[in-house]
Amino acid sequence: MRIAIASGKGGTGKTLIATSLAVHWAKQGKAVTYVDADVEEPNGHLFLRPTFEKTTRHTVPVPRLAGFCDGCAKCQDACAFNAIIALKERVQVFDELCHSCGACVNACPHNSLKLQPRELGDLRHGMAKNINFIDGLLDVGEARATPLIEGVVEAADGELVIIDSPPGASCPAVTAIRGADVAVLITEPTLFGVHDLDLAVQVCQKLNVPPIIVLNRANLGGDMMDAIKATGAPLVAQIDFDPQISVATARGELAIDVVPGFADAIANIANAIVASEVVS
Amino acid sequence: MKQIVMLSGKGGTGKTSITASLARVATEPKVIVDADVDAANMAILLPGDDEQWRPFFAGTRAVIDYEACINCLTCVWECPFKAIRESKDFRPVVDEFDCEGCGVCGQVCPTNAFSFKPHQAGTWTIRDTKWGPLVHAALNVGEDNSGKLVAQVRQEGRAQAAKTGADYVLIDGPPGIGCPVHAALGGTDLVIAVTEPGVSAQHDLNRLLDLAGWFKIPAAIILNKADLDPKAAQNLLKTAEDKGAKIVAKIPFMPEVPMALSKGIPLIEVPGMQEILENCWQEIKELV
Repeated sequence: MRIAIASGKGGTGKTLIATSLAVHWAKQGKAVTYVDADVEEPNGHLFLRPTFEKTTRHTVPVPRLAGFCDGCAKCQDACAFNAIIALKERVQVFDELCHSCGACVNACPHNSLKLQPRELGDLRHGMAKNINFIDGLLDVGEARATPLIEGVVEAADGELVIIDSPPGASCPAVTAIRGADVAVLITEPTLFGVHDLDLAVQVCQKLNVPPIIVLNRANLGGDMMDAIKATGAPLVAQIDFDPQISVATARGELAIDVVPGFADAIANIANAIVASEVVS
Repeated sequence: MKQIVMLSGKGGTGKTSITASLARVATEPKVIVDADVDAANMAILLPGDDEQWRPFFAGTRAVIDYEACINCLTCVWECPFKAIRESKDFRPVVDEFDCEGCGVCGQVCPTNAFSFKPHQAGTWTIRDTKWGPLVHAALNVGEDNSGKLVAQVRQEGRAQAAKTGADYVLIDGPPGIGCPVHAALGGTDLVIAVTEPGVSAQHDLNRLLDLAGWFKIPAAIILNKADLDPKAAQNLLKTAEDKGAKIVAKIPFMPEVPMALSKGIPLIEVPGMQEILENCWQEIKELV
């Protein structure tokens, strides 16, 4: 089962819930893979503290001139993203605009353009106790997060895969949620929380991934039940604000191990996730 | 005209509510830009009347002329984004959600059955608020053009500032450090990193400050929920000092804040916040 933990709004508790679920299932003896797909700002490793066993540089193909060029500019005309311009006897590629589609390679009459790997960041594998751990770390200054997210998500395999997704409702979130069996959307009882929750539900609908909702810090804010109901996705669990959880999390501790009662709250969410698969 | 961008790396640290509050304490003429087009929330806190929403076009989508199509399905095999699929009646069908408009299908089609229509990726508008014009946008759900829409709202923000004689453009940025963040911070005069105590926010702040350095833009820090964990706050202040970023405000954690935000009331209306934010704005002005 592949479980995406997502939210729309940032800072609602995705990593807290995702890492806690990994610990919960690992304690039950299940084979769990935790994937941190928030490659711009991955935080799961701060809590699960894996030992990294393998780090590879993740790459994306981009065109490079590898032969005769007469400046005909057919590559430039073919590129829909303005990512390549023809100069007199060479080309200039704007790597961050390139979508790696290969239209320029197809268009070159001299067959002189070749796709070459360009590095985006690290793809890291490790073990955190008995949790299989995978994350991506985008290079600072690199704009293209999505291909690395794709790499991280594709690298994950197993009985239970937890995908800690990036915030937002655009391509990074889509890439992380796509192909999941269920999306657990973490929200909070504020107008921002429910506004962005609605966007996240729409992403799930576009991707045909059934969403379920967890309301975090349920007692810290207003009554948002009508707005949550209006999204059409079921609310399966609520977690009350507890300063002990905030402090443990601030210190990089696993709240599930140190805050009394929190393990039960996570067990409830875990049960709701498993039940959602039976329903769908 | 000075452009100030509010960023955070980590999401949920309070960028939007602090930006809205600064917009309200700053008495100078200004323009506010909501550059978090993925999940835009500024309009919730700054009421006013929107002008007509304008469409935002970015890129194209492939369209098949089925009169010309001979169902050879070459496009299905060659599409680099797997966005053209074979239908039940064995015809190629474009999935508009996955299509990126690259044109490879048009290159490989033997009968020239493809054309490319402009793609609307979102909408944007200008809102007349009591505190100045607010340029805000809504990216369509699941889009891949957030950076371009950020560039669009920023350009409109500058145009509004020129038109109204504004001294400041206050930009509320997206989380992360990737494409939309680059679009939000390029060419600004100051990055304000809104952060909170804790290992996650600190890790993300480090990367954000490195990115600001990479763009050669000075950075300052607002420490939100500053008293949530004194030890974590101490570590954070050390990071700020190491990276040469000045702390322009420390805002205490108050349960009244999320309560206010559930009603659409910004930070500034919570008792005690006005003075902190006024001082903060003074410090920011001195830095730019």
